[in-house]
Amino acid sequence: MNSYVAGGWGAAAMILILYSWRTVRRGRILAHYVPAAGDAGDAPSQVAPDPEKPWR
Amino acid sequence: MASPPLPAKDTFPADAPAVRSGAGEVPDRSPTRMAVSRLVSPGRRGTADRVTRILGIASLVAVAVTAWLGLVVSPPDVNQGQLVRLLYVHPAAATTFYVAFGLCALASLAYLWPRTRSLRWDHLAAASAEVGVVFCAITLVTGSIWGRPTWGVWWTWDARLTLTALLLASFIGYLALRQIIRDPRSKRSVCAVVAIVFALLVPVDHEATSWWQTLHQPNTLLRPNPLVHGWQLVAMLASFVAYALIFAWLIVHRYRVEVLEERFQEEGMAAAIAERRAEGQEGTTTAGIPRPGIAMASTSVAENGQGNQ
Repeated sequence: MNSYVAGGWGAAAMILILYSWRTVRRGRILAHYVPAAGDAGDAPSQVAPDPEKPWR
Repeated sequence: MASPPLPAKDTFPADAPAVRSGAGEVPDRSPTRMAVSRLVSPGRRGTADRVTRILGIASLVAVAVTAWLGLVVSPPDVNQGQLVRLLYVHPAAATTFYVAFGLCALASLAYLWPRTRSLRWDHLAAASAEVGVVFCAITLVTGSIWGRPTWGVWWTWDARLTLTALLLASFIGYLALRQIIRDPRSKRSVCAVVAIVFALLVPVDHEATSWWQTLHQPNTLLRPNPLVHGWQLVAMLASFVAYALIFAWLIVHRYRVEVLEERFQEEGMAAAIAERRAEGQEGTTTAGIPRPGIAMASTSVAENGQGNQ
């Protein structure tokens, strides 16, 4: 295969995989700290004391 | 001493109460709205659910079909040779970021419009802007890789390329602006206006090859006689389907992340307010030095007179 073709497909795949992984991971971490919608009124807060975003 | 109870939260719609729904208003529980709420609401374990799993599997299948068509079935081009296979990743990415930035502008417009104002539009604008930036970056990278053997340079200040780079820089700035402005209401309004202004570049970028003499080739498909035929056309159309599915999958995930971020910040504000109230009732200042983020958040709530928009 042409190296430019491999590079183009590989770069696109790499960017998409990394961004997808980061987005899903952000969601998992946030969901761990924030109660689900149905729990919002009655569940005790599980929020971390540090207001900075925890995935950074 | 225990802190006084916080006002009960409206737990419906699931992602966030709409700006236009006032206190005591009966929430709309129509099937359509319930379906939308389910689609946009994150679950207990993250942003994945049955919808995203179906979209994800469909995306993987579409990518596999595109790869098979583009790398195996499609013949080399008469002029470009093997480099034509890069066209199965580049134009579809460009179309996707056009759609993403256009969606960002439309959602921002809907947020600014008083009759449709809702937090959901702001979430959608933020999600589509970030996903659009990713696809815009893919467009520039794959285009550059295609340009090196075709034009002899990795980059040239062609009108199409320059405008695409400008769009990328603009929407990165938009995402930065969302992080900089601390007051939520100001942030949403200012960013909505900025997104609409930036998105005006999208049609200019698309028409750049028609309006100016450019090195970039003109539109391949949107013309009376398309420049690709046969298996090349099939592979290109498959790439559009694959990118559309990936875009939908990413938008759903990213939107739910936005909802979770909003809740996370609200919870942080609520905790800060409760802490301040407890301090006030105890009449002491021994609670320690407040962290800047919490202090700023609670001050902002106090100034606005509301914490849950």
